[in-house]
Amino acid sequence: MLYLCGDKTLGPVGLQYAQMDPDAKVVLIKDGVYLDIEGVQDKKIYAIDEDVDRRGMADRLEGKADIIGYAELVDLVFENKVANFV
Amino acid sequence: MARMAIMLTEGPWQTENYEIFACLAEAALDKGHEVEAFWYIDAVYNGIKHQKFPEDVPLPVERMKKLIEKGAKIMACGICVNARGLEKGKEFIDGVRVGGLPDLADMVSDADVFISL
Amino acid sequence: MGEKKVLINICRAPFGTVFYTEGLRAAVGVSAGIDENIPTVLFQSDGVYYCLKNVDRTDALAYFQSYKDMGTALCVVKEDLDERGISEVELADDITVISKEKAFELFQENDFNMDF
Repeated sequence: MLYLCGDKTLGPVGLQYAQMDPDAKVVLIKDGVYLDIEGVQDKKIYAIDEDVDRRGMADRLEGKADIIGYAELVDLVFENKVANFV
Repeated sequence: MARMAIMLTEGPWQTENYEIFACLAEAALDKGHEVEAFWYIDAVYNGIKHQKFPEDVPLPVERMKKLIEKGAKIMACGICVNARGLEKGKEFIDGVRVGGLPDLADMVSDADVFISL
Repeated sequence: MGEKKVLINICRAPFGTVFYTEGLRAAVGVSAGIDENIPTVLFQSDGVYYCLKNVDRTDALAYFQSYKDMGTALCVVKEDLDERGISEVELADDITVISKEKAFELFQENDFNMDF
């Protein structure tokens, strides 16, 4: 599944399920870019470009997440079953 | 072409969800997909046409107007609208309809993907 | 397109925000269309506090009657109860305790999910 992970209320719950899912893909969105992603480093991780850039997080996520825009997010949500944690 | 349903539960200015909503919906429309939205809880405030802000930034309602122009269908929860004194949405921009949870149910039935924000 | 299975995922505690009750209302709502979608309610994270037997359900009584009529499953994640030191004897009778693994399966089995 594709786990959309937002802020600290909901995002960490999504990451827990992503850890259990061998086919998990994770999208970090809004404050989700601050989440601790150590436990899901073996999964495909994406982060939304605008959210990363405005928070100055690009360096911190380098090599850990693929930075994508909304056009790519649209393709991902239609290609995968979505779990909402935003 | 596929159909995206989005439920937004947050109002303008306070959290970022309305911006995510606008960006995601616009990107989907630009790719030729259909977008149907249900505004629930404080999200109904996104449709009020009298929004003003001292600085020159895009108003949330202007972004919603653009989505409607591009073909998004937006439904606001009637109970949420009236509970907030918005009187059946009489101050909403054109194109935002007021409905009920059965509309959300039909939106769910017809969608290929469901996003909740 | 037809009937969908929808997981209503309640993560926020009562009563500081309205998300718990609007989630419960949405669970009834999604079944109200022509296709009668099938909801399941899942309490997890701080949402588990709503499952305590002494919690005030006054604002949601009609929804619980609908769940009863529709046979809607109301589930809570055991690991999230344990983390908060809540034992099963403290829970309301109509709540089913499930494992995190089972909750994970619910996400896979349902067509859509909504977070509250």
